[in-house]
Amino acid sequence: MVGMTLQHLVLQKLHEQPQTGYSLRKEMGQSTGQQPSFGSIYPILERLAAEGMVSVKEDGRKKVYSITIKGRAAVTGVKQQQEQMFEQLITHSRMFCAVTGNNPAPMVTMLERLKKGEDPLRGISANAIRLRDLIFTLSQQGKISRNQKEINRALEDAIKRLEQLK
Amino acid sequence: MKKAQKNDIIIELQDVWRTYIMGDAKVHALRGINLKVHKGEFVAIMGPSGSGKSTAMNMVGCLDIPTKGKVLLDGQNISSLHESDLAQIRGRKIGFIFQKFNLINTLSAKENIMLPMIFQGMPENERHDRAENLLKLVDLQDRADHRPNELSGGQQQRVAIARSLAVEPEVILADEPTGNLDSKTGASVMDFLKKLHNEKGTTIIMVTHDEHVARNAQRIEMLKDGEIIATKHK
Repeated sequence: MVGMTLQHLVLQKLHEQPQTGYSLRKEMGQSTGQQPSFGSIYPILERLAAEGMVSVKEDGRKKVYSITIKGRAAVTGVKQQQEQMFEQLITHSRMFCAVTGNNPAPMVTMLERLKKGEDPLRGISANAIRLRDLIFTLSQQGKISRNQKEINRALEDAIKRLEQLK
Repeated sequence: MKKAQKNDIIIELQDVWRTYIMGDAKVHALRGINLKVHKGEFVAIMGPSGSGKSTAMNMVGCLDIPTKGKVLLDGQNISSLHESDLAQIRGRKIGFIFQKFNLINTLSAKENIMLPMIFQGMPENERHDRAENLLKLVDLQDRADHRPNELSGGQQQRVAIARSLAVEPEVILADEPTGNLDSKTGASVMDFLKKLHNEKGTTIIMVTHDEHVARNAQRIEMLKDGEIIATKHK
């Protein structure tokens, strides 16, 4: 699954602009929070080139990769699927909020932007993902109930500082 | 805008289309639906699976926006509303009984019913009083502290009905309200809905694939392949 997502991500990034493997790796690290290794990026680029999804141009010592028409079609197909997935998530968020009486607007606005292909958490997504994974790990290790006070204190500190930005 | 209310239409669908794109193909889940629901009506939208029932239900409940056409809630075009305003109007006017989003398992029956009241900012005393009255209405006053998994299917659905009434909605929207129930329990749930309609004048819109269930309504709209193919009045 990780391999598939990485491949889509590479295509998506090349759909935005042609670039080298080196800058791809850096950009992907910024948007996902995890910098993929060169060892995983170059085989993907080679595979995509073999499938005719990307083309390679040598620019001095650098290899610049760009997306082909075939690659673009693949990105659009995935994009349509993603759009529909987000539409379903939006409807489900509204349903859930309709039942609980919660305001769906913050969640729905976020999903609408993701659907358009925007990155609403640009610049902070790496840490947002780290925080989410950390909480999941603590929960999995059963450390949440034992450290409730400590964890709540840390979260409230962060919340207080972020609320000042509103 | 207020003038639109004088003809008593609470929800209106005008030539509503909902289209999904699957690869190169366009799939029309709804093909130009027209529907008017008047205040105090009991309407069933009936059709086999894949007929567009769920999509229609999402439109009627203002949970999805049409690809083409208009959905008017109390005369207001929902496409022109901001998400939070729409949620507020939806929250005040419509009570939902969903098949899939049922009760929250970690909360008691009473807490489930009180949940929408908390978000509406109702004072605590009032919340308890109201929830107890609603539990009485659905005949579950002795199950207030039970968790959903300690209740039978029919009892759970009655808690869901009580919760949908928490904010005194004008319309109840029920998606296959008897879907997971045996026919006897289903009939008693339907009796509750009919009682609400008869005694409180609540507008009820129900989506179902079951003709026996649909017959409880005053009007049946038959849906097939995304179109209303017939309307039956009682």
